[in-house]
Order: sequence, then structure tokens, then C-alpha cells
Amino acid sequence: MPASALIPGAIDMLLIPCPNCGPRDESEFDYGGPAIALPALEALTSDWHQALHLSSTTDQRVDEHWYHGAGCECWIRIRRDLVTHEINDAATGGDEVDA
Amino acid sequence: MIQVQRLPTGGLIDREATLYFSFNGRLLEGYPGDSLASALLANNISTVARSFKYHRARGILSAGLEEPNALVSCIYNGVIVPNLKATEVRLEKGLVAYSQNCWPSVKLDFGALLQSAAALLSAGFYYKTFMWPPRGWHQLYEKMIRRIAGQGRASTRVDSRLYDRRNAHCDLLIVGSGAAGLSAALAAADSGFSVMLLEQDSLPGGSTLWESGEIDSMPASRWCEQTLKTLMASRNIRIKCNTLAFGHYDHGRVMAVEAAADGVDSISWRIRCRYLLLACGASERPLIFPDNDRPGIMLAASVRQYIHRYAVAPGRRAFLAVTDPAELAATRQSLQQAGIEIVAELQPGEHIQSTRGRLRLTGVTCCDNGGARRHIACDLLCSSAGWNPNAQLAAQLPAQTGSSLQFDPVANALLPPTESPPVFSCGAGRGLASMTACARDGQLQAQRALVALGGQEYPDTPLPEIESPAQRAGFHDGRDMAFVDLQNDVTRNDLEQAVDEGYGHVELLKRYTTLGMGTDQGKTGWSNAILEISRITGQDPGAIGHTTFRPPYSPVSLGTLVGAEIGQHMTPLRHTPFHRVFTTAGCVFQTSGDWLYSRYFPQPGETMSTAIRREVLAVRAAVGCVDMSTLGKVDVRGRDALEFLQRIYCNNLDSIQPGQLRYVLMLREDGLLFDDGTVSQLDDHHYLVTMTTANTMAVWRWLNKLLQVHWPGLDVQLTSVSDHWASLAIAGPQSRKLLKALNPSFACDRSSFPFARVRQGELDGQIPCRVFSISFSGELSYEINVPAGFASTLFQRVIEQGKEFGITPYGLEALDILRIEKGHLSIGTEIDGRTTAADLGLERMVSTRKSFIGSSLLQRPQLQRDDRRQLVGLLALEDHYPIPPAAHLCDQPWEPGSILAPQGSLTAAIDSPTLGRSIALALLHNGQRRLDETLWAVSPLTRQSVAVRVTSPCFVDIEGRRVHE
Amino acid sequence: MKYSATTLLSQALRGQRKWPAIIAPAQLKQHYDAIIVGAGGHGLASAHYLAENHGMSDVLVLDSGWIGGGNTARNTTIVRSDYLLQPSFALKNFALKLWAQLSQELNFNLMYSPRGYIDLAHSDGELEHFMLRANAMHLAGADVSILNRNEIAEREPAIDLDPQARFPVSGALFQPEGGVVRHDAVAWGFARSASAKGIHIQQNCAVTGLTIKANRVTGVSTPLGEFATEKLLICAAGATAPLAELAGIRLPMQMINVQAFVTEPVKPILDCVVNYNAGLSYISQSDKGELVLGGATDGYLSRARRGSFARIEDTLARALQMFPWLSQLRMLRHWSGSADIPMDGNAIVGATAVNGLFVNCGWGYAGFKATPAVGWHLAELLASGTVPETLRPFALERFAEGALIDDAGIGPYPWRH
Repeated sequence: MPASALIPGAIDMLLIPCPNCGPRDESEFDYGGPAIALPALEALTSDWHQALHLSSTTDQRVDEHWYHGAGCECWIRIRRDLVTHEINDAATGGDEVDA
Repeated sequence: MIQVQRLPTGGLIDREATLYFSFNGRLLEGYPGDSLASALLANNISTVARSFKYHRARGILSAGLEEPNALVSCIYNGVIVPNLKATEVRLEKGLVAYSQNCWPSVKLDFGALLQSAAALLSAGFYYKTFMWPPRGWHQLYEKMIRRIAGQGRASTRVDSRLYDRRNAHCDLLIVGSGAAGLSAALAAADSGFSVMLLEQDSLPGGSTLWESGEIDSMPASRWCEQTLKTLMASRNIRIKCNTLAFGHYDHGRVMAVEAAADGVDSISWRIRCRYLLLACGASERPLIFPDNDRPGIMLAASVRQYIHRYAVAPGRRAFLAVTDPAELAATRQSLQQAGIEIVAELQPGEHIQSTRGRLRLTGVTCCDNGGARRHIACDLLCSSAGWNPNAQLAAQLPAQTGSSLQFDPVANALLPPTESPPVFSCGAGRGLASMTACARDGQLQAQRALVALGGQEYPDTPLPEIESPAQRAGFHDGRDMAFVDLQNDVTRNDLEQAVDEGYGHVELLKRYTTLGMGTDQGKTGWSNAILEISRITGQDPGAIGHTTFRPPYSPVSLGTLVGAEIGQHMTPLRHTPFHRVFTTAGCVFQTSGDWLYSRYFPQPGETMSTAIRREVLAVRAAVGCVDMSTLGKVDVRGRDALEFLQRIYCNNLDSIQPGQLRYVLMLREDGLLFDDGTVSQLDDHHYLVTMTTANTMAVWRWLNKLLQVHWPGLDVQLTSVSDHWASLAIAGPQSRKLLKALNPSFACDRSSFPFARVRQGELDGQIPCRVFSISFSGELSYEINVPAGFASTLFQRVIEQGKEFGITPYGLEALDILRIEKGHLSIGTEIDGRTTAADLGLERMVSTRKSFIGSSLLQRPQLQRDDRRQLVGLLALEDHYPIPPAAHLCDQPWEPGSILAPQGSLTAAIDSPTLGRSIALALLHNGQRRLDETLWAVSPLTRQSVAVRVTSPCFVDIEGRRVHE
Repeated sequence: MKYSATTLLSQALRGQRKWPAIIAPAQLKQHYDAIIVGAGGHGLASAHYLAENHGMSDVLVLDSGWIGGGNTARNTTIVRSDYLLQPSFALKNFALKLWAQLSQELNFNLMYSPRGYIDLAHSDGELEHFMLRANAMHLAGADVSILNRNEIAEREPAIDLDPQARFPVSGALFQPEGGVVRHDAVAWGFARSASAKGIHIQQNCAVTGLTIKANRVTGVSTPLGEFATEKLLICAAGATAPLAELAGIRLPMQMINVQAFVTEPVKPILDCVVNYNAGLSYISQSDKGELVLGGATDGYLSRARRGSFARIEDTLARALQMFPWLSQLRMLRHWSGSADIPMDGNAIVGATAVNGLFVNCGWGYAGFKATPAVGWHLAELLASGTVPETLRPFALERFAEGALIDDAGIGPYPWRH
């Protein structure tokens, strides 16, 4: 029986796998949006416009940030499938998520 | 005669205790263990309800949640609960139940007159008429239709019942305790994994309790008894009865409702599991034939349940119309055991042409392929066209593409896929028929679950195969109504008509005919509907698909879903550290967001406006004190602290020194104003920043995001200290003297403690404090911060020492007036998420020598225009005229009916105590270039149009001298 | 065939089996004057008005699924126009005028019920803000008033106005023309009218490619073949963005899940539409008797068309604050839809960098109420080739320019709108 028989991410059991606190219900978190790399502060207006407004993609799987407000108060980055809600990979802060 | 249809022996009922209940005002009898439906049948009540559209007489079709017909209202604690299915109501002592949606009675219902217009009232008729006269729908037709529609009547009386919400976690969650579910639980007993078994019925066992069938070479009921004993003795299995799992959500979250437990009316359970095994069984599918809705027409398996579980004979002379031979044999046996005469059976090749009986079935007419007819007198028709797995829970999380249930031609039903992580279905819930096969399936699937959870290995045994049921009986195209959806009165004709008109797609069909949209959610109707559509259009049933299955599986009370978080308990209310001592001082509070704020401090005999007026004048003339504790405060330290602050605020902080503070603005990344606050330098590489109350959490999250995600290389540490410090601001010309009287450990004369500074030390050598010389009111002012526990002490001292200076506590109302007089900004009014710093006259605060968050997008052309809506002040031309609040600025006066395009709108308007006249702040198109212009402040709501003059937004001390006194 | 009591009667005598299909079967052509991708409310309304107002019926409407199957089928049916910013208000208010006679125009009963919309305020400050909105509406000619607590009680006695409530009601904005419309009927009514005027509507036909030559649209590719046109309107809510990407156009919007639910049907108990503003929750009663409730979005990106139950609990908690007796009713069904929300929370409508390619999307959860007005103006856009005045503020360029239409002042975070 493949491990995928389990609820996805289910070693962790719950919605959002916080690297510090373990899997926690989404109600403990605040959503921070898709992971956007902020341009340099002095970058051109068009760069900022691109990053802030046009980073939205039509990809089904998105890297995004969540803030564990009711827990470790850390920002984490996860990769989530917007249709199946399957969550893979979680890392704190600005760490790169494994592809 | 009492309980005339009750069988003399048997049944899972307690014959020792008689329960009296009333139905439609009639006193009746039943036993503990009865449902309202079984008790009604025992008392030979056949007409229970009237159908939704045609008000046809209806009885009891089934014995479970799939019941479409027997809707009743019950009274609990004086409160009417409508739309209950008689099959789901447990009989209780003193239960009062009655038929709904009928008048004057269920037996004689004027609504039945609608049946004479039935030909007109087919699917979608209301879309084709009621269009004349033009306002006729709303003013006339809708009123009538609303009254006829609706089923039960809801009550607006206070609900005194208690509800609760609880959480649970387990490794393996099994839904359903029939042969498959119990068998699965048994396989997991003492496995070391936590197991929950949910059963919506009041007893565990499912159909093993009343069906004949064998498991492990013994009668199913005995097997059930033994299995339950083992399960109760095991250490890892929790069985919950009266608990309906109604929804399956992402990541193993299952919602369930438990009735009547723990002194509470019902509990909603939020369960997280790692492996979900659905053993929800199957519901029988009725045959479709003309007039298939009369009281006395019942599902065959339900008849068996009434006989064996409830010891009730649902009729005396039965006609059997059962397609599957095994079902037929079982039904025959049960009827014989109950002493019910079997008058006839539907023969292969025959179909039912019509039925008779006004309030109860009296006879059936069958017709064979050759056209030969026979008329049979009967009062009970046992109907079965096969089984539908209760696969709704499986279907609530569809696979990525398409529907998740597939029509299986072998089972002749919609089946959940067997292998479809993360949900697994077993037993009759996935199309198996015999008890033995179901039990075996439950066991094997539980073993697979244990393997997946990380338990021991089991040999890989193939699961039982689905067997094909017998051919279904033919349909007849009669003139009479052949109902596909009994509750919403959707007939076969309606489906044909819908397909004619282009609503043949299942989703369009559902919406156009309302099939499956009743309170039974189409449990007995949907699969028949798919077969009908297949017949009408010639499409393969597998290609037709199904509508999206949505939770809840069966209707769930809203009260249970909210639990105890009603009234004041919906969200927590926060008090500031001064709350108690303010209450003693007679403060009137007001809720604002999370907080309970001090609003004003009335003295005896004062109205709100006189109190506020007094407070404002006291601050301008002497000294007042106000609670500023709700502002957010963040301690910022680190080698790169200043660099960080430079990046997040638009102000240039180059020149800030320890002991100094600045009023700062924070922009959003897109250049618009986000928040205002202060930065104080406490020491080298040590700052304290403040934010507005409303944005405290948002700014805190934002600062953390910047440091953790975007600029992790910066050496900065943040600590939220919002709740650590109580903050009381003393403001007014006497405030410096008052501060001195509080005996601080630092000098506070004018040269030692000028404006825009911070000092740290103690008051009276005891109370640690930080004092900030900052002003929201425009007066000389000090915000005194002390550790929160000292709040009461600080306030008492301030009042004591302040007496000689005329100290006056004030609240939010006065604070708002003071800041408006000064033209200071407030979140939500001037800082509304659409204004820039320049719009508010603060362009000098936006550094041109550095880049910061928002600086780049602020350069966008529309944000740089110099004629945007800009902050101005307004004075009425006639100084005794009040400027109406919430007015808009127009370049001409307004009369009722005139259409004007405003050039601006007010952000605040007050009757200024300090100036003795009405003043206002506004955002006016190109406002900075329109000083002294005359405009009209227009408020059509109050029919006011007041001529005003555009001024600077600062009305008091425009040179800003007072803070330097 | 005209719909009327007379034809209903004559059809009843024939067993109701002679009604024509609402969409006539069409022999699809190779070229059309205009192609509309998306047979939802907006797309079908555009088609109807193209024929009705501009005599243009050489039009093809394509949809990957069944008509009205997107947000038109899933919304909570409320129509109103009490929006603060002028561009939002103008379109929605024009829509109300159109709703009032649309059933007659389409000869399809849309059940427009102007039963009144009550928007509750929970503090004096909030009420003042509502007054600002109401005054702006008045100045634009709309009928709106501010109700005090007594007036609210008179109009809708079932609301709980306890001053000790967690967020006590201080007053309300009231729009008498606001109310509900039968959402499915809107798609069906517009489709039938457009089809009757000769417009082709093809369901179950997804657009898989766009043909663009020399920066001008020349057609679309579908499984049923290629269709040529010089005017292409993509009007497909969330599906607009992937199609626009095919033309190299990126749209600044994201998909958020919105949920709604109904109770079992009960006899009339709620006459108005009511909105609660301390955390969002709104409610109305359908003609069938079900109470229809909705609230805020789920607050994070999603295309799943299903949401977290926590949001429902939240919406419900607020509904019980308004109407505590709701606790005795039972939820019958809850569902979701995908709201396409741009960076300032307002729609993206108008021309793109590709000639002849127009978009209408980003209506989020506020598109239904504007349906006829949007269709009207889009028809004008397609017929004339230039963007009408009322639609200009919604241009895609506004994000680069900084001319945002942010009703709530929230900022470039679609999941917060």
C-alpha cells in the first residue's frame, strides 16, 4: 500500500505543517499571499509593478507564505496545490523550498 | 385501539415503559427505542404530511435519513423545530409533533386544490409567467408563492438549548457501524492506533440488527452483539452513537454532529484523522411508476426494519414490487413472520400502471407486456429497484478532474472508486451486497489501513467483488404522476420536459426542476434520475455524471455549528489595563473592534455631549488624561535596526538620536499610506516603534515578514510589547507641571525635556516608566508608559497630583474632537487605504533621499498628480451653521432631486468646543490649490446644503507652538 | 415561443412536451463578427445586448461547460448598488435600473424582488461612514436612507437589536431597490433571448488557443474547430487569466474561494436582505423558503471550489448575532465558488495590448448584481470597438498608472478583499 494512502501531509496530520510546531490547523495561521520576492527598494517602478501585481500565475501549485500567529510566530513557506490543497514542503522564512 | 399495528413480540424496544406523545393533537403511544415514524406506524397512522408543490398526501417511505415524505414539526421546550423527518426523530416522553405545510389538517388540506392545476405547474412554470404587470412579481405573485412555499414554520423565539463544539483526533476514523464498519473496527481493535467509530443511529450495528443474514456462520445480530462486546473491551476504540458525520473536508478533517450528549443538546465535532474509512452502507432505491407516492408505499428494506427492529407491521395486505430475488425472498420472509398477508407480487415483465387510495394506498393496477391488467387490493406496497451506496461523503472531495462517483453498470448505481486516497469506502457503501461480503471487506480494508498507518503487515488479499443485481422492472408511460423526486414533486414528465427545453445537463436539470434540492438531498431520487435521463436521451448513465455532492450529508442545526460562541462570547473582548480603575471613575465604554474603549467620563447629571465638551475644553485650558494603551508597540533592536526602520518608514531617520522620537508614516508596498506612528530611539541600536490600534497585528506580521522572509540578512530583533505597557497621555498647558508633580527621576523642564523626546526612569522612585513628549491633541502632552500592572496606580496618582491643575480624564470622543481641531490623522477616515502622504499634506515627511517600502510604486503617474483629493479644512460661511457630517463637497448648492458630481467628501465634522463653531476636515479634489474657495457641503440625507470656505486643516495653534510651551 | 400565462395554459393542455429548447441548435460558422468566450451572466448579457441594442447577431458565445455554470449559478442572488467609489456604484446602479424591467425585456421571469437591502452599522463611526456612502448615492440619484434602530426594527422585526450584543447595531443603510434575483434564470433568460435573435451559443466547447497575427486577434481554436473573428471578448471569470496568457497578457488577479449555504425551507420569516458588518455575514430568504447565507472569502488562494468549514462557522456565528433564532434551523447544503479578485478588488474590463482582444473579469463575488449593466456596456464596446466611458476606470492599465478603484482601501492583496 503506497504511503499516499494517508491523508496528504498526514504524517503531520493537519492542514499546515509548521516546521517548528508541527502540523496545525489553518485557523492558527494568517495568510501572507503567494511568495513574491520583493525587488530591491530602489528598483524601477515597472519592476515593482511586475512583482507586486503581475506575479500571479495560472500555475496550479503555488509557493506561499503563512504566519503562525497562534504558535511560533514564524513566517513559513509552503508549496500548496490550489485544487487538491495538497501541501508539500514547508520551510521557515526565506529558506528555499526544495523543488 | 392502541398500537394496533404493534407486533406482539420482538423488536429493539422497551415494552416495559410506555411513552405518550401527540401527533396533530392526538394522544398516541409508543416505546423507548421507537422513532416517531415507527410509533406512528404502530398506531396505524398512515397520512403524515403533504408534499411540497402539489400537496399530495404522503406517508412514510423509509426508515432513515433518506426519508423524502414524512416531514413534521416538533416542539421542544416551547420552541418549534420544523422540517424534521419522522424517521430521524427519536420518540421521547411528551413529544409533540404535527404535520406542516397543510391547512386545515393533513387529512383535509386546501393546498390539495393545487393538484387540479398540476398540468400547469410542471417544472419551471414560474419562469414562464408572473411577468405582468411589471411590478407584479414582487408586489403580488411572490407574496403568494412565498406563503405556499417553505415547509415548516420557524420560530423567532429564543433558543434556550445548549450547544457545544469539540475537537478530536484519531488515526483511523470509521464512519458507520454496520457489518463492514464493525468488522473494520474489530480488525483494528488493540492495534495500538486510535480508532473512532461514528454511528448516526442511536444503536450500533446497522442492518445487522434487523436483517437476516450470516456473518462468521452465525446470525448477523449475534455476530454484532459479540463484536460490540470485544470492541467495548478494547483499549483503542471509541464508539460514538447518535453522531452523524456530515462532511468531509481537506486533510482528513471530518465534521460530525452528536445529538443529546453530556447535558448539551448537540455537539459539533471537528475531527482530524489520518485515515478515513467510510462504511456508510446503502439506501434502497424505489421503483418509479405512476402514483408512486401514496402513503403505504414503502421501501422493502425499510419495511423489514420496521418489522424486526421496531416490531411494527406497516400494513396488513402487502404487494411486493422488488426487483432483486434475494431482496424479494427476504421481504417475503419478514412479512410472513409479521403475519402480514402477501396478496401479490410484481412478476418479471410486468410493470405497475397506477395505484389508488386517497389518504392511504388501497390498490394497485399492474400490466404485463401483452397489455393484460390485474387490479390488486392492498394497503402496503414494498418497493425496491436496487441499492444506492451512501457515497456522498466519498464524493465531497472530488478528485482533481470530473466527478468522483462513477456509474457502475454491474452494480447499476453510482459507486465511489475503491482506490482513491485519501478516502476509502467499504461494504455496501461501495456496492457490495451480502453481509458476509461486507464484513469481509471491512476487515480487509481496515487491515490495509493499519498497514498504511505504519502497523503490522498483512497479506495482500483481494477485496470482494461487486455482484450484479437483477434486471429492473419496466416503466410505464402513464398519464398519472410518476415521481422521481418525492419531496419536491418532480415527476418523470418534468425530466422529459427539462430535456426538451435544453436543461438536460445534470446541473441544469437539477436547477430547473429542483430535483434533489429538498431536505432529503435527493437520496432516493438522484440515481433514478440519472437512469431516467439515460432513458430519455439515450446517453450511457456513466456519461451523464452527477451534480457536486455538498455537505452536509443530512441537514445539521446551525446552533450546533456555532456551539457556545454566541452572544458576548462570539469573539473575545479586550480590556485595557485601566479598565477597572476607569469603571470606578464612572467611565462609559464603547466597543471598537476587539477592544472596550473609554468613551467619555460623565459627571453626575451630564449628557454625553456636555461631558465631551467639558473634557475637550479642559484639555485645551488645563490638563486631561486619556488611555493610549491600545496602540501597538514593538521593541526593535540590533545592529541593523536603524537600517530596517529606514526601509519601512518613508521619513528620513538619519538624524535621530537616543532620546528622540519622530512621527512616522509607513506606506504599503504600492505607495499608499498604511499606518502612522512613532519611532523613538531608546539607546544605541535600540528603538521603540508604535502603530495604530487597528493596524497593530497587521504591522507586527508585516515587520516580521520583512525580516524573516525578505531581509533575513539584517541583524534585527523584534519584540512585541503592546501588552506590556499601559499608556496614559496627559495633555494640556498644565501637563508639564503635572508631570513634575509625579516626581519622575529625570528632569522635565522645557530645555531638558522638549517636544519629540523620550525619557526613561521611575516615577516616585518606584514605578518604572517611559515618557514620550508627543501630542495627538496639539496641546503640550506626555504619554506616560508604565508596566501594565501599574496602570491603576498611575491613574490614581495622576488624578491625585492633577487635582490642583484641574485634571480631567477624557475618552475617545474628546480625543477625536481634539485631533480634528488640530487636523491630525486617523485610520479609516483620512488614512483610508486610498490616500498618499502628499494627499494629506505630509509630502515633507516622504524622503527623496532614500528608497523605502512603497517609494517605487509611489512614483506611478496617478499617484503623483497634484490635483488628487487632498486634505483641507472647512468652515461654514455663516459661523453658526453646523456643517453636516458625512457630507460631500459640491460646487453648487443642492436642492432635493438635484444630481451633482461631488468634488470631495468630508472625513470628519464636529461642533468644536474650542472654536465655538462647526468645523470639518475633507478630502477635496485639488484641495491644496483651493484655499478660501466657497463650496457647498451637501448632505441629502439630512436635506442640508451648507456654504463652506476651504481652509487649512489645522484650526488650533496652526504654528504648533503649544507643544513647545 | 413567447412565455405567458396563455402559452403556459395551451402547453399544459399538450402535456408540457412541446416547449422549444431555450437555445436553438446552431450550425456553427467559420467566421463571426464577434466571439464571446464565457456563457455566464456577463457573457450572455453581452450577447443579448449586442443583438438588442446594436443589431449585431453574427455572434458566437462559447463555454467550456454548461451555461451559467460558474459564479452565476453559485452566488447568493443579492442585487444592490451601495458602493462608495463612483465607478463601482455607477455600474451597479445602472444594473438596478435594468433589473427592474429585465424580466419583461427577456420574456423570462427573473423574479427580481426589490425587497430592500439593510446594511447594518455597529458603531457611530461606522454609521457616519455609511452616511457618506448614502449621501454619495443620493447625489447620483439613487434612493437610499439611513435607518435608526427603531426604523430597523420596524422594517425587519426579526433582527436582534440588543444594545448588549457583542457588536451592537447603531443604525443601518437602507436601499429599497436592493433585493434578490433568481440567479440561474438570468443565464437562461439572456441565453434564450440571444439565441432567439440568431446568436449561436455553444456549450461544452472549451477554447484551447487564440490566433493572433500582427498583434491582432484573428480567431480561436476549439475541439469543434477554428472560429475566425476580429473581435474577441474573454468573459470567463477565473478562466480568463489562462486564456489571456495565451495572448501574452498577464492579468493582476487571483482566485479565492467563497462559500455560501442554505437552510431547509421554512415559511416566510425574513423579508429584507440583511448584511452584518462586524466580520461579514449576509442573509436573505429565497422564494422557496430557504435562508441563503454568505460571508467573507476563505482568505487564501484557492481554485478548489470547496473551502474550509471554519469560514462557515464564522459566517454562521455572525448570522446568529443578527438572528439568534437561526440556531433552530438546519443547514441543508453549502457550496463554493471561485472568485477572481484583482489587486484592488475591482473588475478588469476593457481593451488589451492585442487589437480586437477584450477582457471582462475580476468581478470576484460582486459580479452578479452588475450583470445587465456590464452586458450593456460590453455590447457597446464590442459594437463600437472603443471602451465606453463607464468602463474606462476598470482598465487593465490602472495598476501600472496607480488609478486604483479600491472600495475598501485594502491594497494589493486579493485574498483580503
